[in-house]
Amino acid sequence: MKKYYLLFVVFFSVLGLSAQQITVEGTVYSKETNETLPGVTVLVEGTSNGTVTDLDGKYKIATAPDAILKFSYVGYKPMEVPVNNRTKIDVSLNTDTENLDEVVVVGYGVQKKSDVTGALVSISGDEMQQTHQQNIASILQGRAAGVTVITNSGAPGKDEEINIRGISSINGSPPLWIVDGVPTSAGVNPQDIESIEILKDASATAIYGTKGANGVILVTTKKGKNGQTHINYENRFSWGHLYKELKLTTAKEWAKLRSEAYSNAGLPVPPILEEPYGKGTDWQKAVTRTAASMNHYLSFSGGSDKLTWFLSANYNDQQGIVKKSSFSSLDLRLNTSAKLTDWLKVGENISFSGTNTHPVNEDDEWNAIMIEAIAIDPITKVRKEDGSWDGSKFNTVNNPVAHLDRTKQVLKDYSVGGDVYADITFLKDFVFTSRLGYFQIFSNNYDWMPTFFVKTGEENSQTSVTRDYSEGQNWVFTNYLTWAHKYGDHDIKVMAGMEAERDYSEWFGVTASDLISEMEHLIYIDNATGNQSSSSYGLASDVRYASYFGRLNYNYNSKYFLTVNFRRQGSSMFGPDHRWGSFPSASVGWRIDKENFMKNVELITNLKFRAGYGMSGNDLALQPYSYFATSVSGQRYVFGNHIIDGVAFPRIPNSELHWEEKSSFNVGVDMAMWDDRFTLSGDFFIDKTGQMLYDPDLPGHVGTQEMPFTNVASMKNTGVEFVIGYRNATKKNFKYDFKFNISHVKNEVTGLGSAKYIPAVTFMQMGYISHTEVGHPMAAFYGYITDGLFQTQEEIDNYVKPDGTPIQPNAAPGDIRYKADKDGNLITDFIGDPFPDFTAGLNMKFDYKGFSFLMFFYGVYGNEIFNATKFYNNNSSVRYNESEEMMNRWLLPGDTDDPNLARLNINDANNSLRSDRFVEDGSYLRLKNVQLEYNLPAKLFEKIDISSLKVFAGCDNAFTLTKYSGFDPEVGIGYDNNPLDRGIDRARYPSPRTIYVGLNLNF
Amino acid sequence: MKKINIISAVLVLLIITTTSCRKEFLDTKPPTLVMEDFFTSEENARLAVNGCYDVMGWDGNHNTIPFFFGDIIGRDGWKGGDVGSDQDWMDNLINFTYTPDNYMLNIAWKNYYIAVNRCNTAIENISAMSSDIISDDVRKELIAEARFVRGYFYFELEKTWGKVPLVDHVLSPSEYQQPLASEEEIWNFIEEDFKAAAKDLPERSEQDPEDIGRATAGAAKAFLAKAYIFQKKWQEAADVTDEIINSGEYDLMPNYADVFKLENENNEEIVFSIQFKETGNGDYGDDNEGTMLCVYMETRNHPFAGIGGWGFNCPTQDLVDEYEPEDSIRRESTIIRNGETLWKGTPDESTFNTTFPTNIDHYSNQKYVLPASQQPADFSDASKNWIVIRYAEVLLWNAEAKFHLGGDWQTPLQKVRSRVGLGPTPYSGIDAIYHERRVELAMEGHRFWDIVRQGRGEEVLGKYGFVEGVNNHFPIAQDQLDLSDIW
Repeated sequence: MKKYYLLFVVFFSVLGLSAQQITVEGTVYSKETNETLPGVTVLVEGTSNGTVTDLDGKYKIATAPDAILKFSYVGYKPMEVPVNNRTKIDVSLNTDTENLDEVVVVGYGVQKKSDVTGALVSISGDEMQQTHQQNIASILQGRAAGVTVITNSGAPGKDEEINIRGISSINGSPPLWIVDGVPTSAGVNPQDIESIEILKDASATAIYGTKGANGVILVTTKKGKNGQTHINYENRFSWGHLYKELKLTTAKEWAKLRSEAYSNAGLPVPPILEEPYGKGTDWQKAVTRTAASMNHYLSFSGGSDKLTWFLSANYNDQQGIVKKSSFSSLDLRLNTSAKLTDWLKVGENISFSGTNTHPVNEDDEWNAIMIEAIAIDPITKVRKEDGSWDGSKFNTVNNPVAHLDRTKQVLKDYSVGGDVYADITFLKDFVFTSRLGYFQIFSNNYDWMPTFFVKTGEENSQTSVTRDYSEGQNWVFTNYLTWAHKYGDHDIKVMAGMEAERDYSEWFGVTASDLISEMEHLIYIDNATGNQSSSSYGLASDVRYASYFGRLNYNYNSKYFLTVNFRRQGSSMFGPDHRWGSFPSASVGWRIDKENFMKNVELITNLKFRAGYGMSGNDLALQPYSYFATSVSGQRYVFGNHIIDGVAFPRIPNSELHWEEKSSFNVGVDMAMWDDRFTLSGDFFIDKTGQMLYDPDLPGHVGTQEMPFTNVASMKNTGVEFVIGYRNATKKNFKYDFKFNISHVKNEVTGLGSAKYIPAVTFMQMGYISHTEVGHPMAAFYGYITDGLFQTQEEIDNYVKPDGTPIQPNAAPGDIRYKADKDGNLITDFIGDPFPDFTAGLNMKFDYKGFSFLMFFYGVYGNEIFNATKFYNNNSSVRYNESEEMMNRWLLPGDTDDPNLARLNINDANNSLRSDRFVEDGSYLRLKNVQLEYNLPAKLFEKIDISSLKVFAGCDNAFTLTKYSGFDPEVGIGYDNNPLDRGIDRARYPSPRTIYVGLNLNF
Repeated sequence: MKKINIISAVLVLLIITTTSCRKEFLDTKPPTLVMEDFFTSEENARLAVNGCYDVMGWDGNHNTIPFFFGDIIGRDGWKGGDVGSDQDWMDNLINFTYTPDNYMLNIAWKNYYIAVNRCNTAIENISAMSSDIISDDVRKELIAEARFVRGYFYFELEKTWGKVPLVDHVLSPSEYQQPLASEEEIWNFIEEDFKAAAKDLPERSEQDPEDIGRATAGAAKAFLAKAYIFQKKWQEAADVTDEIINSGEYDLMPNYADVFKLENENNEEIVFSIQFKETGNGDYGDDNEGTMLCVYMETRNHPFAGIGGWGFNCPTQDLVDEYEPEDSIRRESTIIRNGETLWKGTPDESTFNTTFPTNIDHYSNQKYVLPASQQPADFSDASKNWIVIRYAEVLLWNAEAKFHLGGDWQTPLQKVRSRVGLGPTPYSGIDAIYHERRVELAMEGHRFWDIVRQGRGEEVLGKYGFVEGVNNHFPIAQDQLDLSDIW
């Protein structure tokens, strides 16, 4: 170890060695099971000298002969043993039945876990790191009841959507992230995380005021520990691949279908379709690959009584399974804290993160790579025989391989910042905390378009280069005072403080054309020669908050608990008269197991009842300055053959706007039995969002371009959550640990002001698919109701309105029959719901000697998906590649009644209406992770100063059981981030199946 | 105890520093001008008026509606486009089987009223500007321009829907529900706007070259004439067209085909055209100042701006047959025949294959075709103005009005015919004027509106489903009906 110390002596010259030492060794056991305990901290009292027991529970430490050794381990009562000149000391630690006394982070402070009265989930860093993944959101998926994580895209570096207890606003409800006390969007490397606390109900989140309504995720990063110097290195190598291809037609099959579509429309079949074709091109294969990725993590930590420090670096390099896409990141962190005097502690948590993303287009209905791959015909080749690109002769879909070849976009994002803080302890029970958080965020994006030619219409003759830059400066200054005192059985803690926050951002960009050359090192604005063909933009935004907040915690004899939170907050988002709001909450708890009548029930080690009610706010719907009639330039027109600027005022200002208000009611129970081996936690909640911001259409003749937001709508989420855990150990070193959670949320829109419904999301001119109406869940699917296929002309002729005219006059046998009302008008109605009835996760961990086997299942049940890929692949016009199942299309009466197998017709205008034929069951069960880890026996490398070496191998996304026919049943929000656009599968970037191996080394 | 005092002092200091600027702290200023601060200079007033014209150039508006409604519904053009459901919102309009659900009816309605709102905003705020910051001449002219643009859009509203809400000022929330005004009220309002504009606007000859494209007195009078013609106010129409003719501000171009050439834009025959110019910055659709008109009407798959033309609005055999046999100048300047080569002997020389499946009669529209050298880099960005009123139409209105008044209608009519080398019209009576309008102004977006205002809807379009009194106007969009409590 000493050689590693040397590295740091320069920075932290606080280490010393005393003379006259003896070496003590021994083994630490669990008194309960008599097993050896690895990882127990052994510390010489009053020094920074310490060690940790190895895998066999053994330790060895140099100490003065009269010293006292302190043994501590999570879940066990700490023990102090005087050395008394002994050289061998074995100890047995008692389990700590009060181990719920670990503290959890709540807003502006910590609380004993056993005292918590709100709905809160705590996830330890160890639990998060057990699957060795790099993405926090992905790790959280399925691990916390009521926390929904949806991977919208499998592209490397893309963000997941997180919602806590469903979606509480039609404007979306991303939770608030707080890292070490500072609200930020900057990411954190999962291996740097000590713990994550998720505040779910308003009795916990009210303290965050207008930002708390969507739940709060509190991230606490690792700090160095007194006397424990660690060096940790971990790597992970992985290989991902597309695990499911859509089954599409071969060239031969497609030519046959397309010919039939011409014939059925009464048109001559183009000769090109009558040539002999074989399998043709497998475009899905042509655009994907096995993606190799790696990650390296290195951390150093340590500390003394006075100073602790933690330093880490992470490098991540990921390929995407769609060619050309990749992501790399570098994260650095330094956390230190210093106890300067008895009364003053100062510290900082500072991080740097830089990422480099090479995206591919996955964001539209025509030119997204995967859409192109499933839509382009299989007859077209990647390249012609002379090596040049081949372009489709049948449709306007781009050759996706050529498209990838000219994809040149690079996104570079950086964030640097963190917080510095001081804790001042004074008088007897007072602590004053002052914290300044600051993050600087940069984004510097770069794109250029080379010249290319695939075919007429799929070509570019003018090069151009685009640069976009944005910068954010966010600071938050927080000061609060905490007073805690115990009067006999009355335990009181009061916190009060204030906070000022500013989020400033600015952005600009330039596009210039006609580059002097297409050489990669010349792709800069200065080399653009097309002076006429350039454009630019730029603007800024400044949002500020000022707040006062406070909390009272009271408990009587650790039996009866009360928590009251309050925040008063002002926000510059709103007009002067509607700027300030108050957000109170209260919750109570009752430890029933501590009552006398429960004393003899030894089975139950914890039984707590919780209830809470509170208010919180959400202002995310609004752009800043909504209460002004702001001018917008760029409303240009041509005068004197010059393009001249003009100005308009597209918005009607609303000075009465304010935040959305969410009230939430929560009751819950926590229970532990059999010495905490079995735990159960259940919650029931009713969340009501009122004053929800919505911009209903005004009559067109008002002439406003942007509809003004008003606080008119409302919504309700009701749900239950259960978490069940069971862990046990047998005498034979076999341990297992099951954690199961399941949650149910019912979403219902309860008011939309004067609007009857909100239509949203069109796909390929189908009309609005998403329909938000009072009495229904938001963003439900809406469309026509299919009623099989017309089998004969007679059926069409008999399908008439009351006046005898046919309801579907343009239909022919084999076309879809749609249901009509009694007047003969086709019915449109709700055809599906994107929200699952249940979401569940099951984590199973088995330990045997050095082996550890993990299985993590995740599943959703009861949601529907609007499978928009069928628009391309089950399309009567055979404009795009077809699903293989179209080989069984309708040909003759009685063939099929399946509306997805309607007859072919190149001029079809009947079979692609938005209808229930696109809607499928989206339930699935996924083995999200399976992993085997082996902790090599410590004996093997005792001599080389390695304290542990683990190797692991596993698979993410191992298998999925589902009836869904698209790429992946995990379909979230659409690419415009419109909260009303969800569950619509547009063949975005599919999530890979990933196999990985790695090792973790501890010094 | 000393230590505690120091700490307390620090605490107090910290708290004071965080609270001291609280009040102003939340008053952030928007990074763009707000309306209250905007109308403070002549320059800004002009910017607001420029913003009114802007709507004329939007792609959801004038790039498709004039030819879709005027030519295609009027059956001078086949819809064209791709086989299948290309622009299928048109299909039920062409067959008069449309319902209020037709989405273009909603888009057009909203865009027209956005323009009206911009005009009302400009008119109200410029009127209220103090004389210290705007001269009376500039104020008058700017308001006149805004009234011209407002009149233009009300004309579109009136001819498309008939009865519409008459919004003559910026509405406050309590006024959002507006009744439908009678057609008479709307026509009066249109007349008043154009009369006022004509009074305060310069004539074409007085216009600064930098202002070409802005409304002129002549343009306002021409629109006034058009309003009279639509209302069959023949005497007023005759008077105001006489006034335009006698002003000497306009003349016919000697060569008919030259009127439509890019190099001759804003020539002496153009009374009012919507101005487009290639922006060339890669912006698409409404975000550039070019037009998508040309790509829409370019022969399908014929090279255009790096992509193939979309092949809409293909002249029908019926239109081609309307031309007198000797009227070859106008016929051959209006259509492109299959296999025809244009711009012969120039680097732009190009042969057209007009035989795509949706082009029933194999003709393409020549008036809005651009040679390769004049095509934009981006297909949505062509520098081709859309002609709204040209002098030949003023002459034909003059003839039409005088025919109904029993005056000398032959002289203005013959002027139009003589330009293309034709003698006296072989048609007699009102048919002479109807025929002349159809061929002179073919493929310029007038046909359907002409047929309807002439009361000939059933006669000409009855076989396609037109019913007099039912299809004269289009229905108000369902979305708008849903938003109104009072219609």
